[in-house]
Amino acid sequence: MNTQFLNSPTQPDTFLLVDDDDFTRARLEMRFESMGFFDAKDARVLTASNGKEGVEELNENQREICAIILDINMPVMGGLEMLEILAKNEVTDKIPVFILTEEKDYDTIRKAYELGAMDVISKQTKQTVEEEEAYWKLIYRRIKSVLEVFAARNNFEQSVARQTEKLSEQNIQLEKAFKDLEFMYNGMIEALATATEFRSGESGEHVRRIHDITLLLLSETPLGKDYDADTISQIAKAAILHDVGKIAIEDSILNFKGRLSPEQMDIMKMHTVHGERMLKQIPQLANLPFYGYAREIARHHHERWDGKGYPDQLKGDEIPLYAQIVSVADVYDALVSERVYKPAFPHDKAMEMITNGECGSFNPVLLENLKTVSGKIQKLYAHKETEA
Amino acid sequence: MDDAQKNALKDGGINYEVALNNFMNNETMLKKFLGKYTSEKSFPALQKAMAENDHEAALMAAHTHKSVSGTLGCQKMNQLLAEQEAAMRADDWAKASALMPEIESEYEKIRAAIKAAGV
Repeated sequence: MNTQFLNSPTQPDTFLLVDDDDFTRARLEMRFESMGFFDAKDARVLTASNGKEGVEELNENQREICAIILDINMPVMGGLEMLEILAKNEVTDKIPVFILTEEKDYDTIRKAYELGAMDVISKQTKQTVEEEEAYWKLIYRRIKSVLEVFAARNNFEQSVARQTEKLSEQNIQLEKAFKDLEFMYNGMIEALATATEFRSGESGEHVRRIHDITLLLLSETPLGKDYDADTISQIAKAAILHDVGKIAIEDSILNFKGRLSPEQMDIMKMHTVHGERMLKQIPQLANLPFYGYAREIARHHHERWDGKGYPDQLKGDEIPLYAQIVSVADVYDALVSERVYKPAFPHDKAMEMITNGECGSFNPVLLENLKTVSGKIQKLYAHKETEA
Repeated sequence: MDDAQKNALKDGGINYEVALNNFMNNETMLKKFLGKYTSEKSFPALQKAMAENDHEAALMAAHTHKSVSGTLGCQKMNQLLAEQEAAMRADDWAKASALMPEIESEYEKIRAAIKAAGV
């Protein structure tokens, strides 16, 4: 028989013996100590003279107890009553209970099994030493096989618990690693965006507002209905890089004070194409969730609904919806901001210019939704001003 | 324990070998519990309960003393008490009472044997 589970150093090795008769207790105590349940050591025995004392001993020594040997007929608290308490506290699931009794009443024995006793053993004294030894040999086998099953199960449960604990520690480390990684790649996006703004002499507020307006339109209007929350947050992040291609535009044009000539304008328009190419050339970005959105937004955020935008003259639904959203956010932000060639327009005026087509045509559905969050967009700016 | 002591116990109805085996061949422990037999409470409790016709107490005492006698290898006593307990459980109190003189005489025999063995 496989006994490895009964010999591990942490395995409980103590029998709790509950019997009201001193003589019987002494006899059983010596018997259980020397029956050889554990290869490397003698079993220990704790005794109690009734169910109440038994419960007290159990509460104090539960971790050491490998089995409970329980008499039925005892004063103060009998065996069935104690067993009921054990069952209620789910002790019988963890520690096997053996009823050792002279009781032969069928109902009592049935009740003991119902309450979770593993075995009901008839308590006897034999007429000869040989009979007595044969009797105990049989009891030894019945008890030992149950002990092995319980020990194996407890070991298994402990090992599962240890594995679970290990896994949750690893999860915490993984989560931390993910957070670190996210922090790093957010930093990379911001670094690129800051470099762009620095070159074109804009404040960091511009990209942050484009991010916020994009987020607002996707999360608070039906425009975002096809995206989950994580995707929306990735698109808003991608919006930050819409003008990244401006890094590649020469200073004399990028920072030209006044209106650009048509030739200069053509060069300026190339920032969309440069932006997409630049993103393509940073292989580390390709694995990030916002990458596809960032490329499309960089290239198409100057397209218009009627096909009169640039660089590809995409028309209508050919323009990805998120690129359309960034377009309108970009136009709005330009209108309400002061430029060397124009003053800052108030909110209502900017909204009017966008909806009446002065800044090129937009998807009518997009404009409808823009109007529904118009107040919130205005507040976004008021908030920024107070913050500044 | 020498042969004279063992014989004294045997003559008093105590199976020395079985008793010693019950205490895992630890003679010191056997002697200790033989010594406790005369002051053990379940036997006087049985006499009292039978005299007072207290059935519940009588059953409990007979049951306990049966265990005690079994543990000490007092086999005749053990059998008498098993018989008496069965009678009590069958509600045959006439029989339970009728067994008392024999039980009492067996008790005296055991006491005398323990005394004679000097343990």
